[in-house]
Amino acid sequence: MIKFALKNLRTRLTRGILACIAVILCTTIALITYNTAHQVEEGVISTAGYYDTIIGPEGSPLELVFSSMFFTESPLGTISYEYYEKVKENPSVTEAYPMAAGDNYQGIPIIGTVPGYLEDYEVQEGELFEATEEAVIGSNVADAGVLEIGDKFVGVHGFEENGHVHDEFEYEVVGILSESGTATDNVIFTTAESVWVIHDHDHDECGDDHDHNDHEHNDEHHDHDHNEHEHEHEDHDHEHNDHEHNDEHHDHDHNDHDQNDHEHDHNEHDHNEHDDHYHNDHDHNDHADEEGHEHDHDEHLHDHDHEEVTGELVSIILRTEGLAAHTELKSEFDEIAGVQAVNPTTVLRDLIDNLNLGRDVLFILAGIIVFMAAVVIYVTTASFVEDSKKDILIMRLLGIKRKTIFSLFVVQTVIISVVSIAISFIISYIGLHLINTFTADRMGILIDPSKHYPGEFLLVLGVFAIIVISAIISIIPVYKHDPLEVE
Amino acid sequence: MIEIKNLQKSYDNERIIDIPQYTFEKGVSYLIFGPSGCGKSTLLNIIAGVIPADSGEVIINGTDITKMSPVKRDEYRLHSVGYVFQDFRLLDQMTVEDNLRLLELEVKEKLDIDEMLKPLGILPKKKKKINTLSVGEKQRVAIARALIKNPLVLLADEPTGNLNKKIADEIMSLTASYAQKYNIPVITVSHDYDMKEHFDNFIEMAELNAELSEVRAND
Repeated sequence: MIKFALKNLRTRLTRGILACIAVILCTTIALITYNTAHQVEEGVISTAGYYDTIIGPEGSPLELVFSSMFFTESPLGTISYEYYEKVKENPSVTEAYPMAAGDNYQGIPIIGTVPGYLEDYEVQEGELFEATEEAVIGSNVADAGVLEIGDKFVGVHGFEENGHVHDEFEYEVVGILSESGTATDNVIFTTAESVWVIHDHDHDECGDDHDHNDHEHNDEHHDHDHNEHEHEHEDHDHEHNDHEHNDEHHDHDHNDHDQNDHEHDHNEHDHNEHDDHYHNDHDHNDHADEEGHEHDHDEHLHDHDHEEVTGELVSIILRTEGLAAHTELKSEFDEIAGVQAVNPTTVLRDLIDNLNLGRDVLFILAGIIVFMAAVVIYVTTASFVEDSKKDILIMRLLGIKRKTIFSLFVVQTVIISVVSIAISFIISYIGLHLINTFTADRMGILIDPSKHYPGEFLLVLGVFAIIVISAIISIIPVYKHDPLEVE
Repeated sequence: MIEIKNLQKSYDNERIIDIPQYTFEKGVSYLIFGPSGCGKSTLLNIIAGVIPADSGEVIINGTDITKMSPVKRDEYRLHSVGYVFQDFRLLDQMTVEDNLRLLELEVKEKLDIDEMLKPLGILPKKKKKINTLSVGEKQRVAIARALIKNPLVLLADEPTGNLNKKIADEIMSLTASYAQKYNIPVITVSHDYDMKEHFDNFIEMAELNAELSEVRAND
């Protein structure tokens, strides 16, 4: 039966191929739409699911979530670093990570945070950043050949590729993260200090250092005004040179700085390892080439260890002990002017709920497409059967049972269906792979082309049913013809 | 042996078959002659079980096919009747072999295609599609398909309608010869009077309809 059905199909190859194309188009569109919608939804929710609180500037909660977790939106603004210090001390907060941002490299966001944020991610090459100027890149960034270990690069201000170039500050790639299927694959990570330093430099150059420095240094600790200083890069160099620091090795400079002949200048400093570099940068910036300020500087640093790491954050990502802790934090921070705390999962669920209307429209459109495809499949199948009408009547004339002829055509349609559906799965696999490159690159959501949902199989079953029913409906009228009427 | 008793068939209130009694013997070839529309093809279709009779009996080897259900008649036709149709009724897009193997959808035993095609001289055409064959070759394929199932009767409806005289003679002679070869009745209908020489018996349809078994032997 199958052998004969295949032979019969071969004699009507063109119509068979047309029928296959109709089924493939219908099935592939339906499979890709269904699968992508589910995987994107799951990806969004699962990415947001681990952390339960984001603290950031007031504004759109959605923008806050997307800028903090998916890095696809520009930050709403900045909040004070002191909030991070505050929540970090909160016993109901189990994890807290500061997020600083403001620059990009070739359109790739440069995110400043602490290494702890990435501790659950595998490093495929190199190591996590530790010092200022060190950077770790996501797997997609590495795969795209944008950067590799050892590369040095400078950031561009803002989130557009053609912004102001921070050429006074060079990052060095020290590690590459393994692919995680999250937004981290598409980002460059560095220390939060790097982000602050670079902007501090920038502000210095622009004579616009008041914001940062006002925050970082209370006037009472300075017996000078920052604006009175010549915060220029040359000054920086100069001071480096004074300390036999090489511009190309800032990190080393700092170490040298501690260990070499300037120890007498700095031996009162409480330079913890972590804050060392930023501290020194401030040192350079704030005190420039006025030697007389060295002592003031020393005192200042000595007295304000807790302010060594300072700057603005775009957000703070938290994991708390539970809902009660989150609610408490939320009410606490929502009361602060210009600050909000949101639950990313709630925000994203609201988004998805709001999108339901859009999804309904999409489903209606998909329904229309499927209906039209069903009509096309019916017409194609009916045409296939009509083309076989003469053969069917000859078979009837020879005495071949209706049941056998019916089975023959069902086998043929099953062959068409199975082949078409198999091809549809292959094409949808390729399609999902292509979509994955888009969602992974743009949203950090990994779509697994091999992942399937029960709904897909129901869908395929529906397509299969349409084909078989089309064949049955088409063949019944042929039976009513008198076999002797064969032309 | 085929026994016909009181067989009647009408179309649009016009009786075209009215045969009181007639017997087609095994091993004998018959040519039923008559003009178009006289009912000769209808007679073959009733004997083949393609259409039912209005009344009467058609008994083949002891079984009255007029009493059969349509499904049973299909089964009977498939297994017991070799029918060479007018215009051959072959599956044009398929090969010679496929047209014969088509019967394997119902006949369980494997058919010996080569054995059937060889004596008909079309074995080399076995893998050729029907639409590439000549009319004479198509006729032979139709005969092969009719005979391959070892039927109880061979029926042929205007088998030479589209053939030239030489090939028509050849086909008629071949068809008639199967009566003795397979010891079955071979009934051929034709409007071509000249073909009577190839058959054991020659019957005019009008005579068959009018009187009881008035058979005129073909000298």
